[in-house]
Amino acid sequence: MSYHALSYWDVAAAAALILINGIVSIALRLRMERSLLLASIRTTMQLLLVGFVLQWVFAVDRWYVVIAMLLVMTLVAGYTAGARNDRHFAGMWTSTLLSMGLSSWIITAYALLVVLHGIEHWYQPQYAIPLMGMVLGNTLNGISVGLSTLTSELAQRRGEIDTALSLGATRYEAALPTLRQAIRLGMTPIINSMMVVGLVSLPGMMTGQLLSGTSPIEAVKYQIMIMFLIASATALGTVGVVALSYLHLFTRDHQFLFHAIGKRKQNL
Amino acid sequence: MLLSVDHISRSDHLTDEPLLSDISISIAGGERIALRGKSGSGKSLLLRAIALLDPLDEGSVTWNGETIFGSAVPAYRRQVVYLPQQAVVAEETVDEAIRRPFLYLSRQQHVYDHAQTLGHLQQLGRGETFLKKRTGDLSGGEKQITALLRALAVNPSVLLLDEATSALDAETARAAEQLLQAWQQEKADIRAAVWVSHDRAQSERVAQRTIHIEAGHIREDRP
Repeated sequence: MSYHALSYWDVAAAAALILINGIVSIALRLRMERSLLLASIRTTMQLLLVGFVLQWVFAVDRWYVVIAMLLVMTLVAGYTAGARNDRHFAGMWTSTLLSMGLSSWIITAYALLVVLHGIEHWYQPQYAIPLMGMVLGNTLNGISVGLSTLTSELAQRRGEIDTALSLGATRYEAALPTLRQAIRLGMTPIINSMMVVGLVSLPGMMTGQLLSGTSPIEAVKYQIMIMFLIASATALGTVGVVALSYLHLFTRDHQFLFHAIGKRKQNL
Repeated sequence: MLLSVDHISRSDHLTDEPLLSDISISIAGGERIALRGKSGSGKSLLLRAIALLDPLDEGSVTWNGETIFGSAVPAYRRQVVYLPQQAVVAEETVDEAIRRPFLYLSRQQHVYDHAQTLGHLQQLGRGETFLKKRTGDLSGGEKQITALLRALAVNPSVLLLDEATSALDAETARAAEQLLQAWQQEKADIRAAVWVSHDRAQSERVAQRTIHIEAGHIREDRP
């Protein structure tokens, strides 16, 4: 099987398709022309930029460059997970970043050192960066769903929680139903996608490997590995963010800090 | 002294406005205290503070001579139970709601006395079928009855009653008062009750000591 490289003219031919969106917008007066233009420019620029950065990282091939890159990716993912939540509390960012970082680094390290132990060196950017990217992207979902379920449910169940506490429940006993629900909801999307993967659509990474000429069976093996990496990282990340938030919102004196949960102004 | 609250203060963490300022109260066994004051004067916050439900900026709560904090708190709340005005019961049957506290770690060595609950139920003019009701179908008053039965079932020493009978009809409210008085007299040396009530007549009926609260301060504490 051979791999066909695209020229910039080929890319331009694909980009020309945006005219279809433009015509729809103009014909139906959707007033989306400006956003379309901006989105097209951003898609092109952002991806080109990432392409150049990756090209450089791949060429340099040094462990500290790869680690720095992974670190930046982790921070961006952690920030995104926290920013999606419309409630906040003191300690939310620490909880989010810590659970995001620990879960994805542990799982990616396991993948690089154990699962892919035959690769030349553990920091080979060709493996480390895409694996970390996929793990982070999915863990981000689990963490943000877990976090927003937790904060909104806690705010809603204040009466129930205070009642349990005032009858002698420990903070853990009082919070447990809510913690369970947040973790369950955080882990649901990945389980759902494991149920239908391959049936409804082909995952992006597998598609990419097929396009680059990898045999389907090889591509599928990678995809199976990825699904399990993602599932475990999501579980770790969700449990982590829920547990750390719980420790910030319930004191050692078994008090629920309802007033610590604030609502953030929606600026989206 | 059964319970004492020493120099407790608490302010709103956002506005820094003082909510409770340097409050000290001692409660002895057998005491029936009415906490009076305008809406927003801090009565509910004081009851919650006594139950250690909110963090205090300063001061401490002492139970039988021991300052309560950390892991001692759940066992303390087994003895000193706060009943809010809006009785909250999760969706289940009344019977399950009353038994729920016995699932908590701090109560696991305690046995639920069903016969006692049936007796209390009767004194409140309700039959055994009340226990089979779904809590979601209860009226505000019935929820208060459930919360009261549950609080008594856990066999506390001090009850902190925050408008706990406000949704009951006059007759049931009187029955609840009598039930609580009888409960207290059963072991007068170790049982006490603190009432917050907007009903002046009720406060006078149930209490032999009145504490007036104004803007988070104690203005008056008299028998």
